[in-house]
Amino acid sequence: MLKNWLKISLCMILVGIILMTVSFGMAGFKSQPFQYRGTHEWSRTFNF
Amino acid sequence: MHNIVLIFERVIGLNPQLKKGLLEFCVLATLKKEDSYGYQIIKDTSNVVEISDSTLYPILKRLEAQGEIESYRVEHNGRLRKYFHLTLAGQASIDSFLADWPAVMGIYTYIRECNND
Amino acid sequence: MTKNQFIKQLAAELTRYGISDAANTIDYYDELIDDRLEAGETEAEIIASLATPAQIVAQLAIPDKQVRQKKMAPMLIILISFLLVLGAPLWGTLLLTAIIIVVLGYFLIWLGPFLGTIFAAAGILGGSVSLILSFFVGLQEGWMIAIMQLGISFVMVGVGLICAGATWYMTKYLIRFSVGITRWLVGMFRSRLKVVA
Repeated sequence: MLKNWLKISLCMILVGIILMTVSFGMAGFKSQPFQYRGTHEWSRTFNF
Repeated sequence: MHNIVLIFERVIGLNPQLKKGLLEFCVLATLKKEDSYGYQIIKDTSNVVEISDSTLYPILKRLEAQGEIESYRVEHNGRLRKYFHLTLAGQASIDSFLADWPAVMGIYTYIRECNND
Repeated sequence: MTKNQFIKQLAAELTRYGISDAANTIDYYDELIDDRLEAGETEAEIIASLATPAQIVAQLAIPDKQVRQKKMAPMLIILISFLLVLGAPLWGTLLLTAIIIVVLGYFLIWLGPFLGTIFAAAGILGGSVSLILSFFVGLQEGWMIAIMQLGISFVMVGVGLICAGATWYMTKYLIRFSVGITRWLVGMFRSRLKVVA
C-alpha cells in the first residue's frame, strides 16, 4: 500500500528495459536496424 | 479599613483585569502578617476577596519567580507543607502599591466626575 | 473522582502540555486537598469545587504576556526619521535587493515542482501515446521495431509516474516550507518594526 505508485513505476521501467533488450537481441545486438531510414519532411507532418 | 474592604468588594465584582492585579497585593499583604501556606492564604483573604484555588497557584508562582516571596517546607501531620515568606522585594511592592493608590483614587474621582456631568 | 484520580489526571495533563514545574503544581494541589480534608470537607466536595485538571493546565500553559515595548524619546524618533529619509538611496537599494533575493528564492524553490510536473506530463502522455501507436508500428515496420518502441514507452510512462510522485511529495513539503518561511520572514519584519516603533 505504501508508495504503490513507486513500485508500479519501477516495474514499468523494468519491463520496458527487458522489452528493449529483447528487441535489441532480436536485431542481433546491432543498432543498425533501428537507425532512421529515408527522409522525413517535417513541413509535411504539420501540413494538412 | 472597612472602606477599603467596600472598595475591594465593588471593584472585584466588576473588572477581572483589575482584580488580577489586586490579588497579588492581597497575597503579599497576607504574608506580611505571618508566613502562610496555600489553604490558609485563601481562608485569610476570603472575607475580603474570593481567590479560587486555581487562581492562587499562578499568583504564588509568579510572585516567587519575581523574588517577592520565598518558600520553605514544614512538616505537618506526616506530610510537607509549603510556607511562603514575604521578602524585602515583596515589602517594597506593597509600599509602592500603597503609594500609587492616591493616584488611582485621583483617576477614580476624575472618572466619576466626568460620568456625573 | 477521588484525590488520587485527580492528581493522576493532573499529572497526565501537565506532561501532555510540557509544563516545566509539574512537580510543584502537583505538590500545591496535593497539599491543598489535604488541608481541606483536615478542615472537614469531603473528598468529593473538594474535587468538585476545584477546576478540572485540563482547565488548570490550560491556565498555566498561557503565560502572562508581558509585552515590554521600549518607549523612545520624541527627539530620537525625529532623529531616526530624519536619518531614514536621508539614507533612502542606501537602504532603498538594499531593501530592493533583499526583496529580489526573497522573490528569487521562492522562484527557485518552486522550479523543482514546475520541472517535475512537466516531466511527469511529458512522460505519462508521450509514453501512453507511444504505447498505443507501437501496435501500428508493428503492423507497418515489423515487430522488432514495435517491441523496441513498446519498451521505450514503458520506460517513459514509468519515469513520468516517478516524476509525478516526486512532484506530489515535493509540493506537499514545499507548501509547508513556504508557509513556514513566510511566517518567519513576516515575524522578523514585525519584530524589527516593533523595535523601531
